[in-house]
Amino acid sequence: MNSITHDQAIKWIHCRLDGLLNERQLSLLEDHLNSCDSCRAYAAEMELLPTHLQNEFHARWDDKTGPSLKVIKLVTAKAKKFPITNRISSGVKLFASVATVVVAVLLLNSVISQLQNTSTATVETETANNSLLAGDRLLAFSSTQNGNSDIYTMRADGSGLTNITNDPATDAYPFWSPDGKRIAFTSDRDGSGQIYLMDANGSNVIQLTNGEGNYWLDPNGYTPWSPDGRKLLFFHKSPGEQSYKLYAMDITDKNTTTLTKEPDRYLLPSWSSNGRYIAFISDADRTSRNLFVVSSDGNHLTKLTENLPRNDFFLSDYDWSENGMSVFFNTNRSIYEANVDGSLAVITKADETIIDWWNGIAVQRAETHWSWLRPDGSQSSQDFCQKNGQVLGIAHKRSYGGNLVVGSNCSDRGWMLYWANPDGTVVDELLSSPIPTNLDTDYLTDITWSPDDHFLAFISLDTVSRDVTATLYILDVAKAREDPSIQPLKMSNSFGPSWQPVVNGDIVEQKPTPAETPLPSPQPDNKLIAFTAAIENGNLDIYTMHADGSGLTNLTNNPAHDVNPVWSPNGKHIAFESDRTGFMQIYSMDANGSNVAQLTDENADHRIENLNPWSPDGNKLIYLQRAPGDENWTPYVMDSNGENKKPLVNEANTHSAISWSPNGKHIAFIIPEPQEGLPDNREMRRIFVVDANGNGLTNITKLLPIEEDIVDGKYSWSSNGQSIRFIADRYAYENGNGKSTLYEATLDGNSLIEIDHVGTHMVDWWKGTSFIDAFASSEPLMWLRPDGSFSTLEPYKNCAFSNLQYGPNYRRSLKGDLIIGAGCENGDWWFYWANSNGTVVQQLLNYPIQMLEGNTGFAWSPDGIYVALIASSSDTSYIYILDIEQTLNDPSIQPLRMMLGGGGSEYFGLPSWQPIP
Amino acid sequence: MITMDYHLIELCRVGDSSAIENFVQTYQQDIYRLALSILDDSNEAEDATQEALLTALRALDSFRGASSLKTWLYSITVNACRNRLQRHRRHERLTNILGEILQIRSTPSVEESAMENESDQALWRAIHNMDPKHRIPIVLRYYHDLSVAEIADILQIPEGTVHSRLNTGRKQLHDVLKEGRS
Repeated sequence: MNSITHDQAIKWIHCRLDGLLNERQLSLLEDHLNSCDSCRAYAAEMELLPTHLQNEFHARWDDKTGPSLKVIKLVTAKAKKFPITNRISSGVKLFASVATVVVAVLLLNSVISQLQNTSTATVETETANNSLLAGDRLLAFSSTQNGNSDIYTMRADGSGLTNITNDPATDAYPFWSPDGKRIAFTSDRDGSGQIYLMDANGSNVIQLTNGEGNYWLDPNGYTPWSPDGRKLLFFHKSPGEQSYKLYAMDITDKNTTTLTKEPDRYLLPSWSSNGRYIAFISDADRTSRNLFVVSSDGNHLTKLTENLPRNDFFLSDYDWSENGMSVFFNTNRSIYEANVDGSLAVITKADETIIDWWNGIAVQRAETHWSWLRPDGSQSSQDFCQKNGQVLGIAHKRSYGGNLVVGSNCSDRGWMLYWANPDGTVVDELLSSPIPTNLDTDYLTDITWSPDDHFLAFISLDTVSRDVTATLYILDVAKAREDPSIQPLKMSNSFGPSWQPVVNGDIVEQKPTPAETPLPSPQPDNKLIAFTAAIENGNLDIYTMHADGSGLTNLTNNPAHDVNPVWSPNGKHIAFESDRTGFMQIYSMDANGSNVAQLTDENADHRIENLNPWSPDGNKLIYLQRAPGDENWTPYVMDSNGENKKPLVNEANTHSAISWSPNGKHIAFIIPEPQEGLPDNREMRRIFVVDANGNGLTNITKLLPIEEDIVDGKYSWSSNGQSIRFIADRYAYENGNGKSTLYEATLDGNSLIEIDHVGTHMVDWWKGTSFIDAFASSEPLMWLRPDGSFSTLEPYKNCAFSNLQYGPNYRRSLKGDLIIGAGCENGDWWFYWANSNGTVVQQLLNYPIQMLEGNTGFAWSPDGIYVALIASSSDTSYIYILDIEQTLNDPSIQPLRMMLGGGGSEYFGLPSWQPIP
Repeated sequence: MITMDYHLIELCRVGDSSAIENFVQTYQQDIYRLALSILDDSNEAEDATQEALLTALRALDSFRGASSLKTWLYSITVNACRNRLQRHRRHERLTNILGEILQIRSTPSVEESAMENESDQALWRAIHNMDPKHRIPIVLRYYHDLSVAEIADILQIPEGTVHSRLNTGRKQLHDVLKEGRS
């Protein structure tokens, strides 16, 4: 080849810039440039670019000095503690003590064999017998006292010591089942690490795993047992692999679920309290540790540490929230609550590392002390013991009841232990004689509280050089607080303590066992939902069915249009609209469709759509009436048998949001009213109240500033029916001067109290938490809580970018849960669920529901278990019923769906749930 | 970049105070400068330096000497910076929302205030708007004077990919400069 093409030359100009051409190529390029003016010009320009960039970069950055001395000091101080804290907090703990051994069970054997080579175990109970009460609760642990590792149980006072495995192989790391009847453990009796199950006395040993490679239960922190005692978390590493996977096994049928698809270094897996999720740490390349959750079926892997803000990096501690829908974890500077969907909220911040958090109380580890920071701003602290101004080791563990044990190692004195009550207002020294230690690198691990907070078991692990000595201590905490001079029970060459969760005498509940039949199916749900459908002959009728779709019944079965059913408060009757007389009239019938009664008979249209017409006692009904040719509707009240009809107001108007007060004495509604003083006498929505006889019409919002409007045309009654709460905002919001205020007005309209306000568009409020929809589709929905914390949801995150979006629509259940729907331009609607204060926000279905014709809204069942919605596409409407808990558990679930008939959502209205009697 | 005696690295691994101080002193400037050039924000660069140094010291066990220590540290730093870049937008958006609710006026971004010279604005805007996957090779090449092979090692991508990313980046910046001149 003697010459290159023009295109080739352009490419090579760039290659030359990167030094990628050999001499021959350089020469060919030079030849081409000599013969091509445009290429030469381009090459000259490109050659100038590096110089230009270099000058720019150097001018911009060279004179910036950094990092600051603060960073250097901080890094140096923190890094010095890594060799200790890495081992304590990494969750590798005992395994990490011999860093060169990679295969977990081999490593386990290695630790154990070292223990076996050291002195034989002795139970030093001379002083302990006097100091501990003999309880029935058993402690299981591993010990090498017979020359090889076996599993032992004993009482907290050291009595009843029993070798329950007694096998020449290595048996280690016992974990009690939640019912306190069985123990899961790891053993290599099969030649490789496998997981076994046995009864509390060592009988009925069952091998649970039986594959190649090594299986083991994580020994480092949390119990592998699911809360219901059916499943076990375990790790498996295939032969020759460096990384391993996390699995869950159902012990009843040995079915195994892969929880982590990719092999990695996983640490500290644990179950959520509801058994629906598993959290774990991934330590992939040891450069960044991250926290994940996965649902128990192995789906929906979510990285909770994905969105940590600047400056914060995840430390290795986390805890599930009580409801199992969020995880608290600590970073170097903050405590976060992460919902299982990955959304994050800062719980508290501090200047120093926060090591623990309990109901608003942060425990902080400063240079020389722990401090407890309480929500009221008060603080207390406890100094570390120190050697030459340095603390050599720190340990802590929160008990089930919230008490904290904290310990610090000061070498020549040993480990000092302190007990603190949950808020740190009481801190007691537990031991006047510290746990002895000979070496600076000795540390305290496997700290385990008994479930009754009575006893503490922990391991003092001495790992300097390759000689590992592990000593198990058991301390009666209540006694030690009274008399710090008592000595804990001590067992040398023992490790991996696990307290029996339930004391033998208290065991009443039978838990699942292998090969047992599955749990009984849940009780059938008898609740009915009433709705409009055109299932037969395309004619609209009222139907009922159970939430699972069973028992579908056509209640009306009439050739006329029968629509908009609403249950009476006692769940025995249904009011509905029907045009069987030629006009829309109001009817009632019994729950089975019998005893149909026509309640209205005027030659006019009547309506109960979008309102609950029934008075709380079920004796009266409100409805709207419109004479032929009229534009507006007039609200009426009548007895439930259709007698004593009275208009509630003198003039027809656009009444909306008509509702009974909870005591049945008043009826409220919203009317738009022109406001004198506003441009064009602009109309603002106002709330009016009349008594149940239609007398005493009162504008209860008369004190509201004229420029404020009732948000979303809605309000809520106080439980005693004496006042009404509503959110109002300034119409000027649209000009960027927004403010939403929650007011409470008395029924005479003479008192208007501001309860809360925010500087943006609040659309709902629940016990101090503002729910904000800023209107702009680019901004997330937001929950702003009274403590200043907040969480957000981007409801349109699944939509392609578009200005045309539907909703978001939302509806609270009676207990405060929120369902949110958001529609994309293509008619795909996505749904979300949030708890009452938005600390947990989760996508409901992992696929959209198509409803191009819009969403009629949501109907929560009164018990908050189900949500019904009508989805209408261009030619068909469906009713969906979502079991919220089931859907949260498995977002891939297909909810009940039933075709209602052709036509849009306007035909079908909102379904009505039978009230709970 | 100066390199440290491997004996010192061993001492760092076991937590020797003076070795750790020596490590931090040796590498902090280079790490900071790298972070600054990627993030173009001195506060962010401080934080990224802290994060990268701590990450490196915590992970020294996993450094096996397969790559040079410099490449290894640069990789850690680039990763720390990338994470920051990803988080930045989300964080900024949340801050703005909170600011709106609490009626706090937000301050102009460092990026905006840094652009003093109007003639440089177009170039810097282009640099800031570049995808990090193109921008990072450009700064590694033209500020840190690294070869394509070194950049490939740090970013753990093939040399050909580095070259094509540099090409794309250069073309974008060349177009901006050309437009500015015309």
